[in-house]
This record gives sequence, structure tokens and C-alpha cells, in this order.
Amino acid sequence: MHPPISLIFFFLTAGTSIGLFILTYFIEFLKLFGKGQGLPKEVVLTSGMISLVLIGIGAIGASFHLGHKLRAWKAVRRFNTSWLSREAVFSGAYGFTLLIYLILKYYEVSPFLEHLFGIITWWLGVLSAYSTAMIYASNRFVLEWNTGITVIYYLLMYLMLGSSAFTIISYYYKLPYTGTFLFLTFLFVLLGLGFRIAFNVRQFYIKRPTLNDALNLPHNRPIRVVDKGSTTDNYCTTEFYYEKGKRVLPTFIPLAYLFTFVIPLFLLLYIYITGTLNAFLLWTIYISILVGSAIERWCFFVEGNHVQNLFYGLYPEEGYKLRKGYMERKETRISLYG
Amino acid sequence: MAQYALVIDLNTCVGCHACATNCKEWNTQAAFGPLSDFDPYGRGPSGVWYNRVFTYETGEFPSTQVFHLPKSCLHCQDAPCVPVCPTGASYKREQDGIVLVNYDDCIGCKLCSWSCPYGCREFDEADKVMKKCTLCIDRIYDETLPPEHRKPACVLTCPARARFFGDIEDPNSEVYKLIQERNGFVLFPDAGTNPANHYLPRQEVRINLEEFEKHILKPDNPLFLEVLRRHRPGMSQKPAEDEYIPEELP
Amino acid sequence: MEIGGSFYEKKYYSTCYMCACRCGIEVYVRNGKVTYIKGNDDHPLNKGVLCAKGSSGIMKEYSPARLRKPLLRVGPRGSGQFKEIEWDEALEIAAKWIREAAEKNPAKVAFFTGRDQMQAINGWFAGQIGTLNWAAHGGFCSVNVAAAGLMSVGYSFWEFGDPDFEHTKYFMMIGVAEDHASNPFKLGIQELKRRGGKFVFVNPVRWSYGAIADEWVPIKPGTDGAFILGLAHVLFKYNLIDWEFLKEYTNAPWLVIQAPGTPKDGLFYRNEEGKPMVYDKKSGSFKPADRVVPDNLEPAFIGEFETPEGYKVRPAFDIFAERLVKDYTPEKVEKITGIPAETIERLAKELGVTALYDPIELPIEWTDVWGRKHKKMVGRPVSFHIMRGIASHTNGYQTARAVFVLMMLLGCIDRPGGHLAKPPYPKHIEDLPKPKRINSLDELKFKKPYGPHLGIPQSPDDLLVDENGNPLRIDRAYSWEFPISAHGLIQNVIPAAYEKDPYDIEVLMIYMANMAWNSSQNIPYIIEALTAKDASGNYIIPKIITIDAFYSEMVAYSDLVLPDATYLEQWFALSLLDRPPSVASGPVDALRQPIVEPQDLLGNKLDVLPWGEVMVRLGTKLGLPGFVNEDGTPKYKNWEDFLINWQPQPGIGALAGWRGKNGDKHFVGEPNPKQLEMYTKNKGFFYYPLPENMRFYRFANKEYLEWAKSVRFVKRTDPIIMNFYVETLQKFRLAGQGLWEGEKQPPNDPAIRERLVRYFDPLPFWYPPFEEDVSGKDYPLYAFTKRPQWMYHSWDSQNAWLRQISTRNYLYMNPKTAKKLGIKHLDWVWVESRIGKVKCQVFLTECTEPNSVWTWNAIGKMIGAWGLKPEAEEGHQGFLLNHVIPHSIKISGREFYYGDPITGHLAWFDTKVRVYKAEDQTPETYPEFSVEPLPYIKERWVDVLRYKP
Ligand SMILES: Nc1nc2c(c(=O)[nH]1)N[C@H]1C(S)=C(S)[C@@H](COP(=O)(O)OP(=O)(O)OC[C@H]3O[C@@H](n4cnc5c(=O)[nH]c(N)nc54)[C@H](O)[C@@H]3O)O[C@H]1N2
Ligand SMILES: Nc1nc2c(c(=O)[nH]1)N[C@H]1C(S)=C(S)[C@@H](COP(=O)(O)OP(=O)(O)OC[C@H]3O[C@@H](n4cnc5c(=O)[nH]c(N)nc54)[C@H](O)[C@@H]3O)O[C@H]1N2
Ligand code: SF4
Ligand code: SF4
Ligand code: SF4
Ligand code: SF4
Ligand code: SF4
Ligand SMILES: [Mo]
Repeated sequence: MHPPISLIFFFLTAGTSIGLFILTYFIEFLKLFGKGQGLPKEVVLTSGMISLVLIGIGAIGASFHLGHKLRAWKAVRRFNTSWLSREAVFSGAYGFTLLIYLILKYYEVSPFLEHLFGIITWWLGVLSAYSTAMIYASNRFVLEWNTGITVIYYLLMYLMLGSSAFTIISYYYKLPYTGTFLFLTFLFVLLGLGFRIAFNVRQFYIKRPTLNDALNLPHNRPIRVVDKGSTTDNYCTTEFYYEKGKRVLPTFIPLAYLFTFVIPLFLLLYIYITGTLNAFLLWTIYISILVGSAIERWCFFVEGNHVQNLFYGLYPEEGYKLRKGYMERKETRISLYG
Repeated sequence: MAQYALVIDLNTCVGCHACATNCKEWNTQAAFGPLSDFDPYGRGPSGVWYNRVFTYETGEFPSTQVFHLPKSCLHCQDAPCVPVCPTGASYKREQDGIVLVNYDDCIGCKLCSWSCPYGCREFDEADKVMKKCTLCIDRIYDETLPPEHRKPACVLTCPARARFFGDIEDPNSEVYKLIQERNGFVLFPDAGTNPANHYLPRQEVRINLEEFEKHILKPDNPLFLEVLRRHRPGMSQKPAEDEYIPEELP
Repeated sequence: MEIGGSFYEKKYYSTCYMCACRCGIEVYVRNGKVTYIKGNDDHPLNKGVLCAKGSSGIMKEYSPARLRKPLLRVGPRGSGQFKEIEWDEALEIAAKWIREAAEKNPAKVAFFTGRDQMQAINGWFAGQIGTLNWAAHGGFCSVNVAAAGLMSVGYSFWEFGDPDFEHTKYFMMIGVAEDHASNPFKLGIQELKRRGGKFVFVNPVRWSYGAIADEWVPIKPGTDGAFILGLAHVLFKYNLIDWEFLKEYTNAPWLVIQAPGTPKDGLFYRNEEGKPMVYDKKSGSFKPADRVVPDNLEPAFIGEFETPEGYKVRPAFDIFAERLVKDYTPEKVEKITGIPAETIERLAKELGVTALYDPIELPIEWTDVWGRKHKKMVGRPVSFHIMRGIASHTNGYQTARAVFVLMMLLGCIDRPGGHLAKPPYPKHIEDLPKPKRINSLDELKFKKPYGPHLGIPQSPDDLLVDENGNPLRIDRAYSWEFPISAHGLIQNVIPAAYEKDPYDIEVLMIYMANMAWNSSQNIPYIIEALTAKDASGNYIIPKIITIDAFYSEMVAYSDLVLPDATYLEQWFALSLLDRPPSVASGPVDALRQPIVEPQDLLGNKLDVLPWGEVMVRLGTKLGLPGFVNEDGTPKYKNWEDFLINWQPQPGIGALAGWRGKNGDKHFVGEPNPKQLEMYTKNKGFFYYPLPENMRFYRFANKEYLEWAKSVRFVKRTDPIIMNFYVETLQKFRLAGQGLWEGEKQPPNDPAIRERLVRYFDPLPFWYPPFEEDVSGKDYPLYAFTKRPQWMYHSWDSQNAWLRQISTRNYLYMNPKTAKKLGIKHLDWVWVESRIGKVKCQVFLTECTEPNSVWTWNAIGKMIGAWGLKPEAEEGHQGFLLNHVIPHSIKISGREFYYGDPITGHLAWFDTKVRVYKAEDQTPETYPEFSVEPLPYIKERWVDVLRYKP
């Protein structure tokens, strides 16, 4: 699949935004039950503002993916069936309720309303992330994506971005949560690494359809493409098969692993072991995750093989099934006496 | 419920691309046009087409089989491209099962094309909307056309008469019968899409000479034997099957 | 989105010219632009369908490559530097050049027309100038098959005849990719297949039609003659021969004199009246062959007899039978062709059994020329079609002959289910036109009409050679080198003019042929010929006038360019005098009409004129006899007027329908001023369906022949007896042996004489393609091209839609061959023949016979031509095989233009090559040529094309 840069951008901004808010509000939420001492208003407002701005520019960025940005509102119409529609609704609503939440917080109108909107926003954030993930995970025709791993991993990535960002905030405001969030970041990155590996390993075991399946010509011999009907590229070959990307993918996947997981884990361990803690290290962790995620998302798209590529001979090859000949034999009998 | 569709006979399709270019010709100027072509005279011309023709081969020389596959939107009965569309621009018509895109509602998110396992939707970068075969809805219902012309452009033009159009749910229709009689099949049957367009398989005609071998096909044509006798002297009167074949020409 | 009726304001009927098939079209117009082109449902040829090209006519009409005004070269040839001039000036210059040259000698003007659909008129025009140097494109297209057919059965394939798809049960297609009968064949083959008939595809490559074949016979290139004769062997062996047919309608039983070393050898044994004789077994005596039917004779097919005069004679069949038995056993044929002997044997049995034991009988009463009444028409439902896979080899003529002889054995000629002639064919073989004979160029005078230019010589005395035996025509047609070059030899013009051999010319006029590129061979050499200068700095080919509609490679190498209007912009006649759109069930002719104004994509008007109009103006300006009255006043107002009133013979004109003052006569009648209107009213064509009893057996069908004579298709009503044995060829052979008793004798050149003796065999035989000798094992692979179904020669790369299907081509190769050569899929390789090499990219496919490599024809382009941007793939990744196709060959120490020894037909597919991986894998072809695009073409390069008028 051809990676749409605007969607990668959206991932990074929405990921940080939602991840950050989920964690921020979580601490606030715990306070409701008398656990922990919550966060200073200022921190909530700062973190919330960051989330709000990020989701805002994320949404604007994502709209560059659309042919008709001004009609984007129409995307809410198919909430019933379309994950994209749901994403649009949830993320829009998330931004909206987040704004209300922040206003309520700022004016300290009512703790009840504040928490009501906090909880709603929290859920909308999660649902928005889930919907976005489901856009990919529900696509039956990109087998690499079509798995729960995609969703779990997607959510984990949001949390990685959020927790590493929150660590920075925590560090600047000298909150008592820095250690916790260092740990959480470590945990999310480690889990993320696990699921990313699972995502990659799974690709070796996917049972891929063959051109014979696509053409429904059960046949004991493989079918080869001899002519694609066009010697130049068209929408179907550029959108669903990114040739240049496929070529550099082997270099980019290690880079994605390096930045998303290896460097952050290394630095986190470094912090634990040496006890050194400074803004630079925390920023490096966040930025490494950010850069890594960008590359990782790029890889995620390029790794996705759309089954329509079968028709163009651009789908990964696999063994073919042995089935009976598809050719019907028809005998014409010429009768001798009549 | 009616389900209009194309039925394409791979037993007569010669892969001539007529259906593809005629589709382009009709649709660029009709209700759903124009169909943009980018850099048409440059290095990588790429245009929007509703219909493309592929060529495949199988088997090893000399028992190679080659076949052509014209592919346009299959108007799936369980069209996965429809529910994913966030705006409802992609829809499947109740009355005839045609899957269409409403250009005025399409936001160009491309998701529908991601959800089509057949690669049958093409995005028009100039109009920024998704386009696809309309089953020539602007022909089949156009009452100003003579009735025999109210068919898809590709069907009317196909020089091998390999394309049929009709309601595959109607047991009296030509297409229904063809699918039954000729074992019509669909692409990617396992994709859960239930395509409406069907293909009819190749058939190979063999001639059975058995009866003739028994009664008539005997190499004892007297004239043949006479020529043999005159020009290959020393050969027996009635040579066995291979006997008369000279090793080396004199 | 509104549905309904809005897609046109006006609808016209016309004839397609996206290829030479001549399908009927309906053209819809809105806002003065074409919106849609549909097949004409009522047209008997295409019955409403349209191919990929026909459906893309709009993009040719508005192509950026379109010329907009006459051009006069200002820079060197090939630089692309022209100045635009007014038509008056252009005509003035053309007239001056032609007059000056023709006044010296008309032969100094050579007019060659390529994809010409008005050959009759163009030839006549050249004749008015007085030059003998005119021909259309047959010489490189298929003249050998045409000649073989005409000389065998009085018609041939394509415009001459078609399989009877309605009835045939077994159809064998040999060496065909797409061919001209594009739509009719697709319609026909599907009809056959739906009826359960068998379709056999003999071709080194399985593609297009091959895809739906019931059996693919992958033959080694150049060996079809052996294959066909192998089939004949088996038919003979199993007695699967229609003896009745051979006896009544062919000269197979005629007696041939066996007297080697004498001038009678190989000629028919004739009585004092000159009538050929047969040996009647019933009476045991010699009888005139024309009494076979009336006297119910039983002519011998086998045997050797002695005549009262003491000649040893044998029936023609007997000689052929000996050849079959000795040389063409399936086992031998297998060794030559690579087709297993069992397959050959089986195919022959299938053919024979279908023809003889599964005949069809139509309940149609008819009368034969001998007055016998028949209750029904019996047909042999097997049919064949052959084309350039056979034509494009040096053995093409004899191979095509073998096919016609095979058809005679099976009795499937112009009979139900067989191969049907299309009126005005068949013709009496002896009555076919001959080129007008002159003995010296001095006999030509400016404005002294010459013609016919083309035809079929019946003996050496019909050749166009001077007293030393040297060619009189610039293209060496009808010379001792290529005696039966029935359509002229367009491919030899540029080399001959360059080498000034046989002489130099001054004006070369080219109409609708891209001779600088895809219709020539050895392109680097051709470019040299077009640009070479003599010592004083003048071009060796002094003046080139090209009539073209687009910025082709040929245009880029011309001095004066006369821009033509397209098929949607002019009146035009698809005439019965030409290669008409007839169908087997009756003659058809048709017209084109002006539908839109010449304009480019941006809506700018183009100052172009139909060539017909230019021809009328030029002819009038030159005062050519056909164009001016005695008093010097013009005979024709314009081209439209010409189409209506021109009569090469009294009563016969360009169009045959609705003649006579009131349009009440067909075929013969005075001009009808309203004729064109009547055509347009009748949906653009004239179809004269023959009554059922005149649709078959036309070679001996009394009613048909009488009618055909009345409309001047034939001169007599005698039966057309088919040439199983072509005596004409024997006459040339005798000449080669020094035994010809006629006037013209071959030069004392052993190479030429050897050719005559060896190849002018009156009975078909197979010999290896010439290149085999010269290139042999050093260049082991046959390289050839195939027509892509979606493009017509060079002219569709300018088509925005069609070029998206292929902007470039590959070299297709069998994986096993590639493995041996260490070549991998998509490698860039060198394809090297003995004359040069070309770089291209390999595509491996199992649909290709291992001795063959091939590519699509004419996709590679000169950079900058055809309205394409210089970076277009056509000039960089696309390649032209023609660079390595030799234009000449050395045989017995003498250089000959590369052609069939009988007709001179260019043997494109003889080319043998070796293929090896290129060291430099840069994706770029070599050699590359380029030309500067015209300035206004650059302005037409839109980024996005959105066509919706
Ligand atoms: N679409 C389209 N149609 C065209 C044209 C076009 O350019 N495009 N051109 C028109 C013209 S001018 C012509 S002359 C006709 C030509 O019509 P075709 O004869 O159909 O043209 P080619 O492509 O030259 O066909 C050659 C075929 O012969 C096969 N072949 C090569 N060598 C041999 C051999 O030794 N034996 C056998 N049995 N087969 C062999 C090739 O694989 C190929 O399939 O087509 C006409 N129709
Ligand atoms: N390698 C290889 N070469 C081949 C062949 C092959 O099989 N292999 N086939 C050969 C054969 S059979 C043929 S027939 C030739 C064909 O070759 P050509 O006769 O050269 O045919 P085209 O390339 O179509 O070019 C014809 C010219 O006509 C011009 N033209 C198009 N429309 C119009 C019009 O309306 N008016 C005028 N005046 N001009 C127009 C085009 O611009 C072009 O310059 O190619 C031959 N060349
Ligand atoms: S037009 Fe007909 S024969 Fe040609 S590719 Fe399309 S379906 Fe096949
Ligand atoms: S073929 Fe593709 S675009 Fe057409 S209905 Fe089916 S899924 Fe949708
Ligand atoms: S591209 Fe248009 S039609 Fe397709 S899913 Fe998006 S809005 Fe719907
Ligand atoms: S039905 Fe109409 S829109 Fe669809 S492929 Fe055929 S011509 Fe094109
Ligand atoms: S076969 Fe030739 S004449 Fe007929 S529609 Fe196609 S291009 Fe036109
Ligand atoms: Mo040709």
C-alpha cells in the first residue's frame, strides 16, 4: 500500500494527543477514588491544551488525505457501517469534549461536569483510537493488517507516545509520577515491541491467496501475468503497490525498530541503571518514539499487500494449490453415418 | 430483487481491449465523465479507466494456455466497498444492484478502493473523487436510445460478442441461463463479496476420430500405393504403418 | 447526473479508418466535437461492433501530433525545422517539382502510397503524370499471399475472401495475429465456437486469437510450407481428398509434358487448338480438359502416359503426389517444423474427415456453367486463414500456394463452410490485369497516361525490363529479380533511389506510409539514405513530398509536407475498384463524409486539406489530361465532384451504388449528382446481397458469372478453373534454363537464373527461409513482430487512450531459451542480427516457441515524433525491431533486396538474431534517434486531458 503521509502525520499527532490525555485524565480519575493526589490544574490544562492542539492539527493534516476537505463533515453519515465514519465522529467528538473539559477545568465550574466530560473524552479518545485502528484491521484484503494485533499494537503505540510525552511533562512540573511513567513507557515500549514482532512474524504465516484463487480457476498449474493491460502505472498499481517503498523496506523496518523500540528501551534502561534523569534524555526518548513511529507507520503501509495486486502479479508469491483442471473438455462427435 | 451484471465469456474473449477503450470513450463524455488522463503524451500517462483487460498464461510450453480477463466493477452483491464509505457516496442501488458513487458526496478518502479486492475503483486526481464502472446506467435507462442500444457500451462493442448484460437473478434472462449452462464463475469466490459479474470458462473442442479410425482411415488408398510403388520401388504392396518411410532420401 | 439523450446533437454514418478493415460507424457530435463513435449495426462487415482502435478514434482526431498547415523544410532533413506556408504556395512548389522532373522523364517522379484506401485513384493519378513508378504498400504487406491466391484460385484472403463462419466446422488460422478483418474475424470465430466448431491456431506464439483456440500448434518460424504439405501427404495417404472437386474445377488432372531440357518441359500438353488435355481412363485416350464435365470423362490423376506426338506426360497431380510421398512424410515434417508427426497426422485426419464425411448441404438450387442443375449446395466445412506469418518469409509465396492446393484437395473453396470469395472476386486468372508493358523509359512522356501499374504477369514477356534485362521500375518490380511483384515493391524505393540503381529519381512522393521508420528495414541505413548528400551538397534523393496528417518520422525527413484531413473530416470512397469492404454474400462499398471541422484539442482550426482535394487541385494545376478538358478548363470542381463524376471506364466510378442520373442503377451507370447523399441516407454504405443461389461455387456458378459479367466484375462466363499447377511459373523457370521461347530473356547472371529455376516451381514446395543460409547457427533465433490488437502500426502512439495500453514493448522469449542464454526475466539484452543490434528488455513467457523471439510491432518511436514529449517511453524503453531487419541479402554472390524470389515480398520475419544480456543494464534502448517536435505541438501537451465536449 502506498503510505499516505497525511495519515502518518495524523497518527503521530492523534497518538500523542490521545495517549497523553488518556494518561493525564487517568491520574485525575484515580483521584476520584481517593487514589493518588491527582494533578495540579496547571498540568492538566497544559497537557490538555497540548492534546487539543495536536488533535486539531492532526485533523487538519489528515484532511489532506481527502480529495474534498470541505466535504469532510459528510463523513459522519455512515456511522453504522464505516470505521472511518466512526473515527471521524469519535475524534471530532473527542476534540470537542476535550475542549469542554478544559473549559470546565479552567473555570472550575463543577467537579461533576468536569469528570463527566473527562470520562466521556477519555472514552471518545479510546474509541477514536480503536476506530482508526479498525480501519486497517478490518480490511480483509490487506491480510497483514487484518488482525487483532493491528488494534492492540495501535493502542499501545498511542500509549507509548502518550506516556513518553507525559514523562516529560511530569519531569518539568516535578511531579511524583516521573518514575511511574518511565516504567509505564518501558512497559508500553516492551509490549509494543512484542506486538510489532508478532505483527512481523505473523506475516510469514499468513495463508495468502494465489492468482488461481483470485481468478477462481482451480487449476493444477500456477497462473502467470503476461500483460497487465497497461505498460504504465495506474491508480491501482500506485495506490496498492509502492514499488520504491518495497525496495527500501528492508532498510526501513530495522530503522523503525531501532527508533521506536531499541533506542527508547536502551535509554530507559540507562536511566534506571545509572539513575541519570534529565530533560534531554526524556526528550530523546519521546522524539525517538515519534520518529520511529513515523517510520514504523510508513512500513506498516508498505508492508500491507492488497490482494488486488494479485491481478497485476504484484502480490507476494506462495505455493499454489493442486486442484483439478479447470478446462472443460467438450467433444464433438462427427458421426459416420448421418 | 434484480441484480444487473455483466457475464463475460472467456471462451470467445480474445483480449482485444475494445471493451476497455469503448468504455472510456462512452464514459468520458457521458453522465459520469470526464475520465481524466494525466500526462497523456508524456512519460507515464495514467488515466482513469472503468475497465481493463489482463492477460494470463498457465502451463509450460507447448501446453501453454493463455487467457484474457477483462475486469470492471463486479457489482458485488455483498459489496465490501459500500459499508466502508464514510459518507454514503458509495452505494448499491436497491432496484438493480448497481454499485455507484455519488460524486457530490464523495470526499475522496479512497477507503472504498482499499476495500475492493478486485482493484475495480479508480481515483480521479483531477475531480478528487472515486470513479468506477456504472454498468452504463446512463445507457441502460436512457429512453431516448433505441431499445437495442440500451446496453452497456462495452457489451455493444465487443467484437467477440463475449460480453452479456442482464439480470442474473431473473431465471428467464440470457445471463442467468448462460451462468447455469456454462458453469459461470466469479472472481475471488472466497472473498465474501458475492460478485454479480460472472465469467464463463474456456472450453476446448476435441474431435473424436475413433469411429473413423475403425472404418475408414486406412492407409490403403490405391493411388497412394501406386505412387509409392512407382517412386519408392522395392516397397511392399501394402506397407505397414511406418514401413514406407525412407530413412534417407535418394 | 442526468441520464438521457444529451450526448449528441447530430449523428452521422461513415467508415472507420483506425485501421484498414473499413467498418461502418455511427459518429455522434456535440458542440462540433465528436462525443462517441459506435459501430454501425446495419453494416454487413462489423455488425455494430467496434475494436479498441475504432473506439479510440476521438483521440486520433484531436491528437497533438496533427499537422496544421503545409510545411516547407528549412533546416537539414530530420532536424524538424520547417516553415509553415500557405496552400497556394505549397501546391505551386509541388507542381513545379513534379513538372520539372516529369518533363525530363516521368519516371523521375515516384509516388508510393502506404495505407492507401484509394489505390485505384492514386494509381490513376500517377498514371496521369505519366510515371510507371507508383505502387501501394502490398510489396511489404502480403503480396506473395495475394499473388499466390490470385494465381491459384482467382482470389485470395482478406478483402478477397473470408472463411464461411456461418457454416464452417473446422477453422485453421495460420500465421495470423490480428489482420485486417479485425472485427469480422472476431465475430466469425465466436460464431464458430458457439456452434462447437474446432479452431486450430498455427503460430509460434499463442496470444489474442490463440487464447481461445481449441488447439495451438506451435510451429517453428518459416516452416509452414512443410507443415501444410505434410497435411497434404496424410490426406493423400488416407484418401481424404475431394477428387470430384479436383476433377471438375482444377487443373490437377491436366497433363504436364515431361521433356527436360526442351522448351515444352513442364508446360501443359495441349491439342492443336491450344486446349490443355487430360487422359481419360474410360476411353483410354487423351481428351481436352474442357470436356471433362460435359463428356463426363474420368481423367487420370496418377500415372505416366505417352502422347501420339511422343511426349511423356503426367497429370499435374501425379507430380505433386510423388513430391508428397517422397519429401513430406509426417516424420520428415516433424524434423523441420517441430510439430510431432502424430499431431500432423491427426490434424490432417480431422480436416479430411470433417470435409469429406461431415459435409454440409444447403437446400439451394443452382446451375453450373455447364448447365447442370443441382438440387443443393454441398459444402466442405473446413476453412483456413493465413497472413503474414506466412507472407513474411522468403518462402511465403510457395507456402501460400501450398495452402491453396490443400484447400483444393479438401474441396473447400467458395463452397458452403469453406473459404468464400468476396465479390468482385473471384476473377478469371488469365484475365487478371497485367502491368502496362513498355520496353524502355523513353516510351514515357509527361502527361501521357500510363497504366495499369500493377497486376500479374502471365509470362516473362510481361516483365518491365529493358532490352538488357534491367528493371524499368525504380522498385525493381516486375524485373527478373522479382518477376511477379503483383503490388509493386514500396520497400525498395528509398534504397534504390539512394543507390541510384536502377536510376536516380528527383521527386519522391509518399502518401500515408511511414517509410522513415516502421515500414522500412535497417533504419540506420534508411536514415542515411534520406539524409545523404552528393559531392555538391545536394540530397541524393533530391525532393521528398509527404502527404500525412501527423508529425511522423517520415514527415520529419521530408522537404514538403501536405497535411491531410482525417477520416472524420473528408469525403472518401471505399471503392469496389480498390480493396472494398465486401462480404462473401455480396459486394459492399462505402463512403466517409466530413463530420467535424479540422481542429486540435484546444479548439484551434487546422488549415489542412483532404489529399483527394489536393490531388484534384494539383492535377488541374499541372494540366494533367484526366483533370482538364481539351480547352484547359478544369474537369472537376473539387474532390467531392471528382468522387461523383470520375469514371475510369464509362459507367464505372468510385462508388457503385445509386448510379445513373436518378440513382436507379447499381454498379454500371452514369454519374449521379446525388450519389453521396444517397449513400449517407443509406447509412454510409452500399450492400448488394446476392441471392442465395449466387453465394457459393462462384467459379462455376452460371447465374453468378452472368450477373458478375453484367456488372463488369468478370469478362466472361466460362468456369474459373483453378490452378493446382501454375503453368505461368514454369515459363519463368524455362527462362531461367534458357529455354523460354518468348521475347524477354533473363540477363546472363547465374544468381538470377538459379532463382528462376529453383523457386518458380509450378507446384508448391518448401525451402528454408533465405536467412537460414546466411545467418545459420550464428544467429539461432527467429525474431519477428506481431500486431497489437489495440494499435495500428506507428500511428496510435499519439492516441492518448491507446498508448496507455502500451507505451513501450518487450522482447518476448521462452524461459527455456532464456535459461540457455543466461538471461533472466526483465533483463536488458542485445538483439543482434547480421546487420546490427538493438537493445531491449526481455519478458519471459511460455506462450512462445523456443526458436522464436518477438515483440509488438511499431511501438518504438523516434524521440520527439508523434506529438509525444521527448521523454516518452516510446523513444526510450520502446524499441523498433526494424533496426536489425536486413533490407538486402547476398545470394550466389549477388546482393538482392530482401524478398520472396517470386513476388519480391519483403521477408520481415526471416530475420535471425542472437540475443545476449547487455552489460549495461540501463533501461534505455539503442540505437536512439530523435527529432525536434514542431513548436505548436509543444503547446498541445496538456497536463490533464479531460475530454467531454
Ligand atoms: N490492430 C492492428 N491490426 C492490424 C494492423 C495493425 O498494425 N494493428 N496491421 C494491418 C496490416 S497492414 C496487416 S499486413 C495485417 C497483418 O496481419 P497479421 O498477419 O495478423 O499480422 P502480424 O502481426 O504480422 O502476424 C504475424 C503472425 O504470424 C506469426 N508468425 C511469425 N512467423 C511465423 C511463421 O513462420 N509461421 C507461422 N505460422 N506464424 C508465424 C506471429 O506470431 C504473428 O502472430 O494486420 C492488419 N491489421
Ligand atoms: N518489423 C516490422 N515492420 C513492419 C511490419 C512488420 O510486421 N514487422 N509490417 C509491415 C506492414 S505489413 C505494413 S502494411 C507496414 C505499415 O507501415 P506504414 O504504411 O508506414 O503504416 P503506419 O505506420 O500506419 O504509417 C502510415 C502513415 O500514415 C499516416 N497517416 C495516418 N492517418 C493518415 C491520414 O488520415 N492521412 C494521411 N495522409 N496520412 C495518415 C501516419 O501518420 C503515418 O505516417 O509496416 C510494415 N513494417
Ligand atoms: S471487447 Fe470482448 S473480446 Fe475484446 S477484450 Fe473485451 S471482452 Fe474480450
Ligand atoms: S468489484 Fe469492487 S468496487 Fe465493485 S462492487 Fe465489488 S468490491 Fe465494490
Ligand atoms: S472515496 Fe468517496 S466513495 Fe470512496 S469511500 Fe471515500 S467518500 Fe466513499
Ligand atoms: S458497463 Fe459501462 S461502465 Fe461498466 S465497464 Fe462496461 S462500458 Fe464501462
Ligand atoms: S477493425 Fe479497423 S476499421 Fe474496424 S473498427 Fe477497428 S479500427 Fe476501425
Ligand atoms: Mo500490412
